[in-house]
Amino acid sequence: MVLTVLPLLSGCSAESVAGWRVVDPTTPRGLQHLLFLLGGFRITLSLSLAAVVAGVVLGLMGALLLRSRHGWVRGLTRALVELVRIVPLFVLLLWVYYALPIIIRGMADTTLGNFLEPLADLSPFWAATLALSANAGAFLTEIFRAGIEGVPRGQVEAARSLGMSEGLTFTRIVLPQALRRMLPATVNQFINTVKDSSLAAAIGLAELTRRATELQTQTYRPLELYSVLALEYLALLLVLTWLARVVERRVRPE
Amino acid sequence: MTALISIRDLTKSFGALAVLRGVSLDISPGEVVCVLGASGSGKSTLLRCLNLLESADSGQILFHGTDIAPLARAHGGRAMEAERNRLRARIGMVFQSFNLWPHMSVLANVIEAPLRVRKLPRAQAEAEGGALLAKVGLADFADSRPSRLSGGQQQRVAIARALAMAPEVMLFDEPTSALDPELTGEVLAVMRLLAAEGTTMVCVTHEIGFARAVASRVVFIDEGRVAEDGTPAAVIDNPRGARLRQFLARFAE
Repeated sequence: MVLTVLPLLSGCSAESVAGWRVVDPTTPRGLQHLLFLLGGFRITLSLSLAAVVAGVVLGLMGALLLRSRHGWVRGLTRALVELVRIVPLFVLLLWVYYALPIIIRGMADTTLGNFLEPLADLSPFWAATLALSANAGAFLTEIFRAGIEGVPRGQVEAARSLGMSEGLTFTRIVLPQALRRMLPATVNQFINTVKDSSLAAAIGLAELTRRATELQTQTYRPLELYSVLALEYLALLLVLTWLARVVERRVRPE
Repeated sequence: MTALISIRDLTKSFGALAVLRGVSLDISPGEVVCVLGASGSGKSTLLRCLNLLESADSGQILFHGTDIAPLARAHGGRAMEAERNRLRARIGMVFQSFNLWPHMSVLANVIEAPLRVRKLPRAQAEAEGGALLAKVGLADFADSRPSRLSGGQQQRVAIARALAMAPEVMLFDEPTSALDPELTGEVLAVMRLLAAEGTTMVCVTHEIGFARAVASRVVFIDEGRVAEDGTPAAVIDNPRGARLRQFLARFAE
């Protein structure tokens, strides 16, 4: 339906309707353009997937560190999480890609400098993965912490009173319930991460948004190209939210 | 006969609030000790100290003659944590709010610790767990989720869960206080059965009738100390102190 309405919006003159030829799969050039645009899926998907997986690992680590016995561990974790949550993701991305290498090169030949050396020459893909992972990790830390704290204390005490260790209590009693509680918020974060991956266009990563922008500068058809771009994200997220619903239905809390 | 648990001068404060002010109490094997006291008198804290869920500030808890109170005080690394867990497994606890795990079936609740702490083979754990559920009258509910059960049934599952570790003593922390009056009977019946089998039990309770009928000893705790200690007949029917008389009068109404 959207596809039939959009041409009308571009005006009724023959010339304007002809604008859609830029992505018309029945013409060789339109097909070539479309394939170029759709090729961005591979990068958008791998970037989002890498960030989501790393973000979950970071979030789980963060949530556990926030429950550490040592005050300084909690303090340091809290400070890092707040910092990453406060800095806009776009700024974080620019900083990781452009500023971080300068700092690391400045530390050349020190132990830390040598250790961080691989980060001095990040490709746009890995810089975007780093920034998106950190961002997702910070928000997931909060989601996981709330999920873990939502399990009633009495259930933990019951497990401990039976001689179950702290680790066993966490993996068998706390985590399974926490995962169910935090699933909706986690899915939300996944969706945000997929959408936010579009910011990587700014550092030249050829994902969906970048490809639409590049084609637009060549063809001057912003309406058609950015509409297709919006539809690409729509399709991607519809699939993702459908998957999420299936998973949620299977692990619904009692 | 030597005491199974011997509590010596136990003190515990939460901030400025002194909850236990020097409790001393001996519990011999096979005894059923009912602990009475007004709310806030420290009786629940006493039980939680015995199970190392709270750390006492000073005093001793001798379990088979060994002081276990220091285990609760410091974290003390892996060896101490393992020792703590071994001890807790030998001391069963039933809570006021049941604290069943809602994401597991009733049977899974009962066999979780036997499987993972006692490391029993699954078949044996399930057989023992099934027998315990039958004992508390819930054999038909093995595959149900705890949320399907009434409060009284949930508490009976919690008792079976604690028994599954074959503990040497069972601690009951107001096991019927969260229940509707018509459901307390079924839980007390299970406790009566355990007492008749010779289980060593320490019950914090407001059920004076149960204490009179089942307890071998009744202890009245007042202001963080043991105020009266004796047979049910002596403590409940012939209270010496004014505080205990007041306390009992409220239940007689």
